[in-house]
Amino acid sequence: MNILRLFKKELEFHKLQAGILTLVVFLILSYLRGKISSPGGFLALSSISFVVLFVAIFITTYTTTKREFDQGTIYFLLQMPVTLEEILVSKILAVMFEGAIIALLGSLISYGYFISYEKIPAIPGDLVAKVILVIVAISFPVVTMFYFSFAVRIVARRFSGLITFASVITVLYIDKFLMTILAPFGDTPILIARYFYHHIYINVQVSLQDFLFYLLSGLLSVIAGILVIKKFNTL
Amino acid sequence: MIEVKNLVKNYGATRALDGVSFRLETGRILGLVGPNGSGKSTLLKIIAGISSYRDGVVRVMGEKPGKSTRYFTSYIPEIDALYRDMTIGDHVNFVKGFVSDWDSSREKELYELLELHPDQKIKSLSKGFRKRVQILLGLSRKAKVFLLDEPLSGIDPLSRSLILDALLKIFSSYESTVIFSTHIVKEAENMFDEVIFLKKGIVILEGSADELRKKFGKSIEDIFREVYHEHPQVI
Repeated sequence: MNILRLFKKELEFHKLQAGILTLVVFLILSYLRGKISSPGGFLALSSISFVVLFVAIFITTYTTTKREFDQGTIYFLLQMPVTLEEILVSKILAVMFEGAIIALLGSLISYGYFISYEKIPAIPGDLVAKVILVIVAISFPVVTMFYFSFAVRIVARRFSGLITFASVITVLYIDKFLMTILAPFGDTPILIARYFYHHIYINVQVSLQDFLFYLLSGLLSVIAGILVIKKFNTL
Repeated sequence: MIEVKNLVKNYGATRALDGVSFRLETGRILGLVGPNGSGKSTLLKIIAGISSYRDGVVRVMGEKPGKSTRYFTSYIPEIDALYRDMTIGDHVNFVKGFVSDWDSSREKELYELLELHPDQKIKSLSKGFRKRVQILLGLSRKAKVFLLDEPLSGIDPLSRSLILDALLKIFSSYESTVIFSTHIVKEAENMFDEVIFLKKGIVILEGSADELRKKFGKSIEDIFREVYHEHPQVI
């Protein structure tokens, strides 16, 4: 019960960087998997994805736990009848839960988008469908940017505005560059989105294997975290 | 009852507590006095079950300090241990969920006495008000044991006076065992039944407050000054 209460607090007041990092890892892995066609490549990638997921979960949990120590809020938590291990487990669970939800949302967005895309010819008066697709294609980067600015604010409060602004400009330039490349195919947002997401569409949906990796990574993070706490706890 | 025997605690090569022993009967208030770095906070953290120790025996109501003793121990840390993004009400609700000795009528009383409101965000509060919040969280419990680490330090006189009023009101209303660490002795000494003087992790003087006053013909504040500053030969 104590872990659940701590878990709830983590979800309510937790920053979004854990989810962002997990999403990024998922997207990169999915993209790579889409690129690899040989069975050997898949096997290698599976091993890599396990390690990467573990590192991602561990780093994000470590960061949030370290912040509790740095800001002294660990003393607030330890006023309650809880152990350091329970605090750590609740944090790892929150990181994994948030990561899974965001990955799932990313998956649903890309899935919904491509289903719609495939069905475009069959939809009567496909102008509506096209409008919807354009909205999705525009809103996805906007949402990503929102998350990005959130993350920047957490790690670099002082220059967050500047960093976010510079990033937006950079992304716009990249976008312009891609538009040039895609020009022969017609420079509509749908095509740009297709270029970005078609690998993700195939692979981002969490497979059973990914899910098991995710759980195993979490378990390993718990063990590693407890070992770190035992070794470096300076309270 | 709180019992400490030959307690030793090291931080690396530094000895923070060196053979500290005392016994505090149920219902008594102990003033733990000493300058900065004398080991007061370390001792309270150990009794609160937050910090480990190298040698010795510590028992709180017959139990080794830890998760189980925190069900009946209310610890108010010296450092600012509150979440900036949470409101006072969020903190209250969080603590309430963990303990069974929360007293809602006392909570209301303390909100009024300390001039706080549940909707106030921690980041909008001054240091003195944040200290008041910690007092509210710690004293709203009907705990058997209270551990107060420097509740009066680093805050304005008005906050200090309000906090002292709250402490006097609570501790005179029912029987609880209290350890109150401070280096601001003058304002708090009337509350003390027992006093321990700590210096560099060693108990240099101890006894009942009345006996010490009688023996030296001075207030605890004056003994404190002599012990640590003017006439160290008093011990």
